[in-house]
Amino acid sequence: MSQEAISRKGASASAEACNAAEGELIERAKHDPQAFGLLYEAHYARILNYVYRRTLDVSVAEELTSNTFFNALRALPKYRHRVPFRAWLYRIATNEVRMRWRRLKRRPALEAQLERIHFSDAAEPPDVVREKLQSYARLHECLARLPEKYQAVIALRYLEELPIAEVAQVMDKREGTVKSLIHRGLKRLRALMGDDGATFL
Amino acid sequence: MEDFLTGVPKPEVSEGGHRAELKARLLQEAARPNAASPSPARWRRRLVWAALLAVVVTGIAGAATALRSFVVRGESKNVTVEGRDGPVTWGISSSGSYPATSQEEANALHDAIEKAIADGKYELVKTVPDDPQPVYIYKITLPDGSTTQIGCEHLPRRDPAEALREVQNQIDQGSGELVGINEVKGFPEQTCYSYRYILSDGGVEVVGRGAPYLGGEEAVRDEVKRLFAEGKGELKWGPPNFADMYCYRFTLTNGKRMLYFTYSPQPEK
Repeated sequence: MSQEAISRKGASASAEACNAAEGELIERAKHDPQAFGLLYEAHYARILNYVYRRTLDVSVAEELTSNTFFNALRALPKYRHRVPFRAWLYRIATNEVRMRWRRLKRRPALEAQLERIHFSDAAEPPDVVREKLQSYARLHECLARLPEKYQAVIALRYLEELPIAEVAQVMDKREGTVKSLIHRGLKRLRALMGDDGATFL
Repeated sequence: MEDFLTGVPKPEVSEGGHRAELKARLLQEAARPNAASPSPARWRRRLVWAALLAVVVTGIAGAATALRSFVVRGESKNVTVEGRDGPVTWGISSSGSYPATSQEEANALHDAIEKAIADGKYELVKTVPDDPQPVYIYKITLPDGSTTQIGCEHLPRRDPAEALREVQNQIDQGSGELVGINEVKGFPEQTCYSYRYILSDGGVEVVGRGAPYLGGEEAVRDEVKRLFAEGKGELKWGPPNFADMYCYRFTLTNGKRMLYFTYSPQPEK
């Protein structure tokens, strides 16, 4: 057996073991609040950051993250492991963002939120953070002008860096459909960003 | 483009106190008796009251003299979609308020519009923002070749099951937004709840359910009924637009807007 085959088998087994452990935790969480707390701790940061990147508003991100976990808690007895728990949470969060999207009237005050935002583990001066956030906000504006179905797949694939298979699980669509949505979404995004004079590769 | 998106710096939020505060609320909720959703069997037994009120709400273009509003309630039918815990049957109906000279004329108009929509002979003219969902103005080509405009509270779809599958999916995930409290005609002690869902095509669907599922609906219902008794509602519409039904709008103490559909006028302040 080649080295590559061994490492693939190892990764797969490890993933299965993780899934089994998480599956056990989820079953416990259906009647044990502390187990739900462990699931929450494991996924909170990802969901909060995902929602923030979709809304660019810290307070809205916290509110929708709260909704996501409360909805997950209520729906947990019906969770049947058909999709991984993380994808399920992303799906709920994506729905929350979608529900909220059209109701968002005000623009986030980026300046006011700088102290809560960072871009890497290393501390950066506020003006660097501000510049990066404003640059990201321009991308966000172009993304926001796309139909929601494109926004979600692009955010999940490139901002959350999920594999296509997991994006498909979140969106409850086939992988081929997701690839096609990404292709069309990127094409539209490229046109929008080109219109705005942004430079990119 | 892919390289750009992969390389773009992604903002992260410093968590602050929200993580701990939310965890405490979740654990409290999880420890509450009956916090979990009903069992699948009970879920299936519950009354699914109605969905997709496809309401024609605006006037037909044309001579307005001698026209009155007549309500036409279309045929009800059931649509079954696959839910997370098995098949779920939804009752759907289409009804509308039509300016006409007689009930028979309104009935005929309703049938003609239904047929035109079923044949795909409609064109979206504009969308008017409204609460709890936008009103879609359509130009309809009637079977006799004439055209008219109608306002619908949802996007006409040839297959309502498609929309309901998405709605059911969101319900299964515990998503949805409570937008209204409905009195059940003839059963004043019963309540139905209106929920709003935004679908992947951008369409907004408001559907009614016989039982709450988000949590907190009963408190909203009690507050709305109290505000109604105190005469604090704003009349959105009432008879004769929709026979004997009134719709009042309230602002709750938490600032949220809520509708109340009732068969009695609000007491005066």
